[in-house]
Formats: sequence, C-alpha cells, structure tokens
Amino acid sequence: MSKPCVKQPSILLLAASALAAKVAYADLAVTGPGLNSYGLPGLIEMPNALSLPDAQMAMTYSTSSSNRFGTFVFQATPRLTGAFRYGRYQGLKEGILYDRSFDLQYRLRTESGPWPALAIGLRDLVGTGVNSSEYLVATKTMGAGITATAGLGWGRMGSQGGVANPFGWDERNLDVGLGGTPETGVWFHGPMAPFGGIDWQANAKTQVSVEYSSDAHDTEVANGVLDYRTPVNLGVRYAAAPGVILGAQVLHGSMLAASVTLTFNPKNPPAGGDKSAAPPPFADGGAASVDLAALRQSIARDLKTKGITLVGLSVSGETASVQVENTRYALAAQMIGRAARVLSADLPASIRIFAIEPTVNGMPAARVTLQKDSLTAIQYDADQTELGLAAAGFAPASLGDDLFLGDARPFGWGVTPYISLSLFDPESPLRGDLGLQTNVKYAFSPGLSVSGSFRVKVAGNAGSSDRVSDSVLPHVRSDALLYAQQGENGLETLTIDQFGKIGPELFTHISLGYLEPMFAGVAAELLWQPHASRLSLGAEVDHVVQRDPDKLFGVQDYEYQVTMGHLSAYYNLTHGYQVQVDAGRYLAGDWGSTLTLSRAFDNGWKIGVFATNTTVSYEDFGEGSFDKGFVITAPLSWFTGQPSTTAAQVTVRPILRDGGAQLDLRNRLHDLLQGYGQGTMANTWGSFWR
Amino acid sequence: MTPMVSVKTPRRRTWHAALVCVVLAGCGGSGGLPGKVLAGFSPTVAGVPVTVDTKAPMIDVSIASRGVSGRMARISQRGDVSEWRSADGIGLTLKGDQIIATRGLGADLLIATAQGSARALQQGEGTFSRTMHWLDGENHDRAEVFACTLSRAQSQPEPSEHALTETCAGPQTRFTNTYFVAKGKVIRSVQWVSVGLGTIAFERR
Repeated sequence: MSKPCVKQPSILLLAASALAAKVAYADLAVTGPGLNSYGLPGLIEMPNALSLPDAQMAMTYSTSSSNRFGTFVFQATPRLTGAFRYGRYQGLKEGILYDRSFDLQYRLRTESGPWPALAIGLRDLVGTGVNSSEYLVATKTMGAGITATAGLGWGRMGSQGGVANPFGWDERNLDVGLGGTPETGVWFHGPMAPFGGIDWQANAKTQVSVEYSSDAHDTEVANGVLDYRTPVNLGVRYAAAPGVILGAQVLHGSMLAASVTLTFNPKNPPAGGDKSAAPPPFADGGAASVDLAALRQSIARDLKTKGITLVGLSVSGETASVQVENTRYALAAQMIGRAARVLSADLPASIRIFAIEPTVNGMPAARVTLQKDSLTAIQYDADQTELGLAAAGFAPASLGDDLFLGDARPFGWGVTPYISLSLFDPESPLRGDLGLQTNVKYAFSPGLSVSGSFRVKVAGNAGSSDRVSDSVLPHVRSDALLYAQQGENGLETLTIDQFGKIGPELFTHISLGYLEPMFAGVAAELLWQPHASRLSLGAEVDHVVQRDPDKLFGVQDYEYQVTMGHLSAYYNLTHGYQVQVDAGRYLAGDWGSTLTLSRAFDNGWKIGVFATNTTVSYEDFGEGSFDKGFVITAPLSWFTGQPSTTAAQVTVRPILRDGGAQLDLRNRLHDLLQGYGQGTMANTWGSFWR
Repeated sequence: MTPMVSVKTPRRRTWHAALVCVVLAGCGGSGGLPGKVLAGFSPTVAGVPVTVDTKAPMIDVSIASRGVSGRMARISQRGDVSEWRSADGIGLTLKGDQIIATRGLGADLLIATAQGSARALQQGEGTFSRTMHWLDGENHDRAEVFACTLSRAQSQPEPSEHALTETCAGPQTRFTNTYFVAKGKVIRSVQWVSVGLGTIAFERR
C-alpha cells in the first residue's frame, strides 16, 4: 500500500539508498560468495556456482585502464541470480563502446556431501552481445577457507584454450542486429574451454582469488588495449565496512583493475524495524453514551494524533462501522491496530464490534471486523498474532457513499527536491537535473480532488545533448530530450481526479487534465480486486494529446492524439512473486502486451522486470528491438524506521523509444490498493500489535 | 514532581536517514500533503510524546547496545501486566518482573511468554520453556522457543541482595538474564529482548 510516485529513471537514488542502508548495518557477515568483476558470484573474470543470500541486491563498479562498468545484481529466487550491466569498453570496436547487458545464472544443485554446487549461466544474453558467454560451473568448499571452482565456457568464455564443441555446434555467428533480443541460436555454440580457480578466505575480512580464465580477450588484444601475457588472474577482496567490499585485480599479467561493491538485502532493514511511538493498550471504552456527533469529534481528534483521518462513522447496536484514511503507515495491519486502540478507548463500552474500513482516496478498500473483548483478552498473549488473525473477519468493504472530509484539511501543499536522470545516452551516459518540485492538492471530498506539481530546475545537464530522435514512429517518448531542454521549469501534472466504487470490490478512477509531463487528456480506470483473491483484473481507456515540450499548457506542437488503453490481469503467486499482463493499445497507436514479473516484499520493497511486444516491428522500434526494463520500489520507512507511506519508484530501461510506450498515469488503482488485500494483511498481522 | 527523562536514541544514524529523506522526498508525500515527509520527518525520536501522570510509578531503564538510559512511567496495569512509557514514546510491557514486549526501538520484542520464568523466580530455581516473537524485516511474525534454566548466581552482588540467572537456549540464539532480589522482591534485572537490541536493564524506583 505504499504509494509510489511517478519518477524518471533515477539510479543515483538507488545507489544513494543502498549506500545509506548499508552503512547502517552492524551485523552482516562479510564472508559468503564474493562477487567477480562482472558483479556476479565468482572469482575474478570467471563465475562460480554459488548464489547470494535470497533477495540480496548488490552494485559492483569495476574499472581498469580500458573498461569501466557497473553491475546491479539481484538474487531473484534462492537459485536464480539476475544482473543488469552498463559499461564503457575500449578495444571492442573502434573508439569507445557503451554497452548494456543482462546476465542470468541458475543454481542447478546445492553443494551436499562430496558433490559440489552446480550452476548454469548466460552472460550478456540480450543486448549487443559483446560479452556474450555461456557456462556450466561447479563449486566446492574444501575446508580451511578454500573454495574451488571449475567450469566450462562458451562464447567469450570459450576463447582461451578452446576445444571443439561437444555437441558439434561449431558455428557461432553472432549477428546482433538491433540488439535487445536473446540470441538463443548461438548459446553453447562455438569452441568450449575449461576455466577454474580458487577462493581463499584469508581472514574474516579478506578473500584472495586466483583463476585460470578462459576469456582470451581476442578483440581487445587485436586492438592493442590489452597486453595479454597469461590466462591467470589474481585478485583480492576486502570487506572495508559492512556491505562495502573493495577489490583489486591483476588481469592477464599486465593490467590492474579495481572494484567496489555495495550490497544490501531488502529483508534486512537498517533501522531494524518500525520505531513509531508505542501505542496505548486496548481499553474498555470511554464515552458514556452514543452521541454520534461527540464521538465523531473525539475519535477524529485521537486518530489524527496517530496519522489517521476519520472519514466515516456509524453505530448500529453493538457495532461501530468506521472508515479511516491512512496517511502514515506503510502497513494496513498496523494502521488498523492503531485505529482499533483509539476506538476501544473512545467508544462506549457497549459497542463491542469494530468494523474498520481503511479507505484510499475515499474508496473503502477492505473491511476488517474485530471483537473488542477478544482484543483485550489476547493483547498480552504470546500467540496474539495467530489468535488475533483468527478472530478478525475480512470482507468486501462498503461503497463509501456518505463519507466526509472531517478534520482533514482540504488544501495541502509541499515542496520537495527532485532528481531527474537520463541514462545510457552513448554520448553522455549519465545526465540529470536537480531541482525543487511544488505539489498542490485541493480535496472537494474524500474521492474528488484537484492536484498538480510544478518543477523548477536548480542545476543539471539533462538537456545538454543535441541528439535528435530518428524514430519512424510518432515521437511519444523519444523526444524526451526536447522536454528536458524546453521544459526544465514546467508543469509536471495538473489533474482533476475522481475515485469511487461501483461495487463492493469494483473500484473506479477518472483523471482529467495534464496527466503526465508529455501527455494531457482523460484516463478512466476500472479495477476488480476481490479482497481474498490472488487475482485482480483491470481496464483502462485513455484519450490523450501530446503536450508541447515547454511543459506549459499548450498541446499544439505535435498535433498528435491517440485513444489507447489496456486490460490488465494481476496474479499473486506465493512468496511475494507477482505476474502482471497488460494487453491493449499503446501511446504510438501500436497494439500489443506487456508481461511484468515482480517480487514484492511485505515491507514495501518491490523489484520487477517487464517486456512489451507490440505490432511495431523490431526495425521500426530501432535500437533495442522492443521495450523492456526493470522497476524498483523502495519504501522510505525501510530506511528510517519511521512509519511512512512514501516510496520511491525507479524505472530503468536500457533504451527509451516509442514502441510499447505506456501512459505514465498517476495513482493507478492497483498501485493505490496494493497492501489492502487479505493476503498481505494476514502475512503482516503481527504489526497490528505494534 | 519527578522530571521525566526521555530515552533518546543517539544521533549516530542521522546523516544517512537525512540523505535518504532528501533523495526519496523527491517523490513527494502521498495520501495527505505532498511534501509532508520532509517537513514532518524526524530521524531520531521514536514519535509523539505521550502524556503520563508524573505521580505514576517509575522505572529507570537502560539499553546498553544503544548507549541510552532514561525513565519510564507506568501508564496502565491490568492484572500482573503493566505498560510503561518514556516521554518520547518508547514502550515496555512487563508481566510481573519479566519484559514481555518492547515498542518504539526498531528491533522490538513483539511478545513473549513469562509464566515459567515467573514461577521459577518465586521458587528460586527451575527449568521451563519460553517463547519469544519478533517481526522480521518483512514484518512477518517469527518465533523462537527457548529451553531455560533459572538458578542462583555464583557471585552475589551485595549482602542484602542475591542474584538469579536465567539461561535460555533456542535453535538460533542463547541468552542469559539476571535478576537481583532483595527482601524477596526483584529490584532490578537485565533481560535480553532481541538480536538487534540485546539486553534492557531496568530498576524499579
């Protein structure tokens, strides 16, 4: 239920976050699988068969006299490791090559008894393929801090001491074309070569590695950037601080290299957990009689001190139905716990059933029914989480027809800093602007509001490029540079939003105005989200016109408009894995679908990968062939321990072009209502007591 | 009137919290006021002060791993369970003399059993099991069951007091609590609450 905001790609944010998170750790083991120069578990250039701890994330920056690259790695499942890399390479073509690459490694078996761990991996499996390699690798711990690794490589990793392909697939003709597509046809083709090495944990903080590399660096040697003397590499890694690992390597007898790794795990918040003020105990009632006006006043006042806004209250017999809007808590269960304590203290003792409906922009999102007597009885019971969950009733919420704004101030504003980054332009791969954003909101009712944001740039170079889009499609995204140049001070959004419900589990949203920096128009959403179901279905229809690049009110420059929309299905698998499929029409008028696979953590972290295939051909799409990337959501509360609904969302695309482009609509229903499903609340029900 | 002293968390982590705040705050707030996060964010204190009766019973509390100490007042008593609060919202729940919950500290003890421990304290010795629950980094309830032994400590602090140690071992964790007894009452104790916090010492005033 954290509400991510719409952001430009902002990898700096992520780096800063990770650094900050890491420095706070005191107890993370510095041992474990070291990361190689490519940022994956391994020796120096070569991989090993180990996995990082589940959900671990790490960023490795490696530099040598010819190359500089950074790798982001994520242990997506206990066995599957995924990585994204961006680098600047010399000697792979004439001049300098900026290249993006993806890696995957899967641990086929875990080390047990005499048998080593075994993994299969694909390095640079999409992209331009300059590092394209495949491998099988085995790793065994030998005692005395020694870990031995041996493997077989293909592609680059089959170029030193290679032997004939065992499958007879001698040809490896890599024609990457526009790049961006998996080159399955060449995997495990061409010569095969053995590699291996040893890691030695010299002491708690130091790891020494020696390897025989099967990468001959043929192209770099031919282009004169590497004096290749030996296949043997040497390296040392040092845990300088918890989560910070420094490395130095001697490559092929002539080249020095260095690396720094920052690592953290979304499962380990640096704050140790929630530090919000202790709640009061459950009480046995307050007011002597049911005077609704007086109750509304006292409950609203007491909820407000907890960061909760009362928007509805009714009493019938023993039951009080209460609608509350959350402004503070990342977890619905914690907010409901806080609200229930206030109710137990303020309502007359005769009211023994609390039906609490957390509402989101005036939409009751769930209905949780609690028995006051049972709460009082188990509040000090060691099985409170389990007993409390068993006693709580989950049901579809009311329609929220007669909610009131209550004490909530209808007008709000704030000023926040922003960072907007443009990544991966080959001429200047990292550009960005820094400035101040003013946000304004006026609520007419809990579900109807007008809101907007305006940015003033303070410093930056996001617009300092003269690259002109060569796209043959409508320039729905590829002119982003023009917007950065002409709209450095501009209106980001200005919309009227109406949220509502047309059924107990049917939510609606209409947004009208300047929907996002590049498009204005109208968007309408419908979401069916049953409270106890793993499946939700959504539909969206938009009609938008392209805004002028100065990001003011005009929509004349492009004379481009499109009616678009999509149907969406969201499915929650176990362990936080989620699948989302969107199918429909995209901004450039192309038809197609997007598949998103994500892993969500119950503390608000989420990381996902997406790919979109549409009627736009690879040729018309241009470099990269189709739209893809990954999205990371990081909750503020994880870093600080202070309760907060704020989260940062970062979308990273190897390349931003016009095919498969989605409207950047704010406050999509599924984002807003995430976290109010019975599943998430049940998983985190312990925080009801916190 | 006894002045209230708050249990302050040291400012050690302020810089990174502030950095994250500045960086993340570029998003603006949600739900309520945009930008509220930056305005209302306080990286060091646990939260809103609670109003407590200054005539209420007090305990002096210190948390070695945080290097902090302060005073807490009793805000409620229900049977043998009492709840205590510092002025800045840190909470301690006692069942008899045992800490069964902490709040506002991050790596808090969600809830723990105390019956076996309490009985053994009365008898001066005993073996029993204790269960402790915490919320992990994903806010999932995690429990560990400990096998505990309580016995008279070998070294005794003062002639008028004696010490009892409670040694507990679970599948992942081992800890020792110490209770100092005078005239048949526990006057102070040092009790382990979580891996992240270590022990909390408190003394009744």
